[in-house]
Amino acid sequence: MEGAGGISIPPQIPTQQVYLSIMDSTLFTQYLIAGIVIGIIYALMAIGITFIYSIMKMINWSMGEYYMMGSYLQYFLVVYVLGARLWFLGIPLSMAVVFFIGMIIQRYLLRPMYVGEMERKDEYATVITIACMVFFRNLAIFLVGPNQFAPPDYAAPTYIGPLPVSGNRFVALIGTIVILALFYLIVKKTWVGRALRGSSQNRVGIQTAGINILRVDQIAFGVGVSLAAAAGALLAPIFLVWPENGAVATMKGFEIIVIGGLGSIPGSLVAGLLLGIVESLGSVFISPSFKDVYGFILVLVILVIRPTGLFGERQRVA
Amino acid sequence: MLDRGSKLLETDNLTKRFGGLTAVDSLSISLEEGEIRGIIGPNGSGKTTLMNLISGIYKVTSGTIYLDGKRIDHLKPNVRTARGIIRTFQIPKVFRNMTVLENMLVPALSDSQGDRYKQHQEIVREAEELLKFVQLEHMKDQLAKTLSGGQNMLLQIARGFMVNPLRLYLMDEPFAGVNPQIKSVIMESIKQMNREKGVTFIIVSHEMPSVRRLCNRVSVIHEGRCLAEGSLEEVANIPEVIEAYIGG
Repeated sequence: MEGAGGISIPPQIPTQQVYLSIMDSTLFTQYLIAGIVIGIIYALMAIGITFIYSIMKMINWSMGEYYMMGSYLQYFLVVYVLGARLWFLGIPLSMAVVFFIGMIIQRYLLRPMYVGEMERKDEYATVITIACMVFFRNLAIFLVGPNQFAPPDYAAPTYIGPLPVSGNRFVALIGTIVILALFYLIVKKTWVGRALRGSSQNRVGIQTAGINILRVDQIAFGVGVSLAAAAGALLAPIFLVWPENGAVATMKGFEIIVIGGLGSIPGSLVAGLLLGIVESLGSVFISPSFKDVYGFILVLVILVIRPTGLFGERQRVA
Repeated sequence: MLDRGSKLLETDNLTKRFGGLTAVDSLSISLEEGEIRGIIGPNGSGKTTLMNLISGIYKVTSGTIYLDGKRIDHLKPNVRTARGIIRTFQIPKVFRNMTVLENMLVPALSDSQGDRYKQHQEIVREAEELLKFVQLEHMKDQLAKTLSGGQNMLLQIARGFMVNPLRLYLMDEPFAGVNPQIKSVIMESIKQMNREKGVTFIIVSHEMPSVRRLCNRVSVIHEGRCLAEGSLEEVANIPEVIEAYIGG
């Protein structure tokens, strides 16, 4: 006996049950893909946070606001400048603008904590970046109001194999993969990337090898926040554009960092996927009402099993 | 031909305080170009702090540092490196997740190195030659974290030789915890760089046999002050030096 798609069905199993199980596996795969898509995009945000941390040894609490800037820039570029057909040009433009904003913020607000004796003042970075978070949110409300905006869709619904996928999510996935590939190439293959990697591995060593660490910090901060801007721009039609839209992305970013391990870029990628899949499957098989709770449960489990995160290394204290 | 009579480095009343602790206290020393100077003294006497002050890792509390007669104590560490001052650390500061060859290429990224894009092949060739010189060429594609402590010290020293121009090389305990074979490679590299390229060295070490073989003069530091200066044999007979070492 042949079922759908040429699958042979043993005579003792009712045909209806077989169709149900095929539907379940289709649904499962569909939600798995949805989880992977959103996970990779979450990872973009987390990689930005962890990249800045690995070089500057500080947490940027205002990361969500650069996500928000990216989404606003993309919205205004697509709606008023480029037009819906050229939406893809908005992504690099938004990233570039936020890169320069980040460089300016780093130069005038964060650099003072590194000038002078080589002792970090974590409290300084925390106060400054939280102040930036409050300032940029309120600036957005002041400039464009508290309303939500939605840019036009990037693409019509499409299919991955036989499975239907939202066009916007598919485009965001492809965009994220391209950005992460470029990021990898720059960090691994270029002279600037070598300086960035060296700085993340030994701040004192890199300075005594003749590298201007303050300039490296500035580039790293610009690159890190531009990744957040890319996430904001890519997700604008899905999660919309409003002054506090970066808050959720930031929370996910920090969850990913705890899961993957602070300072580990591969860890952020794997943890992003894991979080996306857990949230997606949890929403289907348990309840979508508790979507955010599944991620926190995962964080708690990881903290119990491996407090340094999946890819985190123990810090040498002495 | 080297002008061995000129002063390369001078410190004038150099002082560094950490709260109530004075680690370096009105220290004045000077070095002639081409010299290999040993810095010795008991633990906690301020030797490494002096290295940190000269290389710019610490800011001076008071006093001045001159290189070639020009003040450098206000300059950042990377600018001092661009002027030709390089240093090593007792615990080698290598880039653990980069290959040995990539570690060697890091100084080529500094501002002082000119158009690195055009010179890439030349820089790589120079790095490979230096790795051959310190007997690490066969490990050039390995990650630095796979090297032993002594090999990391060799890598750190060889990386310093990549700096151009290299005028003054500060070495903090280069022989600590390394095996005799690596020790002799380090000593040979110091002698050769001094002889052939005129590099001036300051070597902080507790290894008296190595200091005796390398250094024509030593400065004895105790409680942040320079207690005595001269050949190792000369200072070893000064009662204050003996007292400082045996804790009288």
